[in-house]
Amino acid sequence: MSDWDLLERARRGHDGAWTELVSAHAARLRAMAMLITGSRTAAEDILQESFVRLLSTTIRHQDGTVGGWLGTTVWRLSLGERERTQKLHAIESFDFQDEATSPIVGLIRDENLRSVAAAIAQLPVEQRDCLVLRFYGEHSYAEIADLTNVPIGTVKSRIFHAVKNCREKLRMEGVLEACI
Amino acid sequence: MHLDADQLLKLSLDLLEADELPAVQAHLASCPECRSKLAQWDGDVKLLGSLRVSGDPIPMPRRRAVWIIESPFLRAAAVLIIVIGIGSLSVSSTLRPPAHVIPDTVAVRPLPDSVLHAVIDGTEVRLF
Repeated sequence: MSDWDLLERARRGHDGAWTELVSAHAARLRAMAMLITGSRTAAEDILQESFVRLLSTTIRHQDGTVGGWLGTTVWRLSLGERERTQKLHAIESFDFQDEATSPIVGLIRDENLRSVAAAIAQLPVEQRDCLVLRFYGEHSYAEIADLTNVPIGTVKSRIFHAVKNCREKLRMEGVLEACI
Repeated sequence: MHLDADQLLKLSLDLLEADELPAVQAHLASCPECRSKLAQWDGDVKLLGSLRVSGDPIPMPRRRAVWIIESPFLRAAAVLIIVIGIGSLSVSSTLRPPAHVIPDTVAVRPLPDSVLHAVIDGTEVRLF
């Protein structure tokens, strides 16, 4: 069943469809909102608001994906929140989903993910926004250009340098192996 | 001549120009070392997008009013109730007598003598 079908069922009051839809996207979008706003509290509010809008808004065309629609909504709300607060808080108390079976592996994995989060958070804001929209908002380069009001060539350049910068930082911290 | 880091990253991010692509793909097909490095780049790129944060549950907002609008049966019932309500209001307002009557004239009768006079200690006294 597609996300659009799940949304339609959720609109008719099916709790199971709603739960499935939220489970598929919430953790990714919460990370996205946190990386843009730097605030867990703000990210939680933005996520709640985005899902409420998903249920109440009439989406006339279904060319895109539900994940992309949510990504755009989270982006706009997060940007508004960041402009309102005008500050980026330090990444704090991330509670990453533990997908590992062993506690020790889970611990190491969490440490690595904290380093990844810190590397992304320390990027210049223009690079970070483009990277987050690409990797967490499920947007194409053209869509990112539209959302950020910059040429598509600039978007590609920013993402290229964002990944390169993060990789260099993570390699120096030992999170990634040096292969080149 | 192997592919350099920038070429591998561009390939991983789908950023290579169309005119560069055939030569790069031809080299990859014949070079296990570059294929291995590309796989590592792909893994690193994937890692950057792998953050997932758990948090509060998001309960489904209840939209009972919308249910009524979307259900044909409930919609018809709602319209019927509204029509009956408006109808009963208009009928009751036409049949109901006016709540207050303000007379045009007021008849004044003279007070009887028993009210105007009283006898106190055997003496008749006029009260008004």
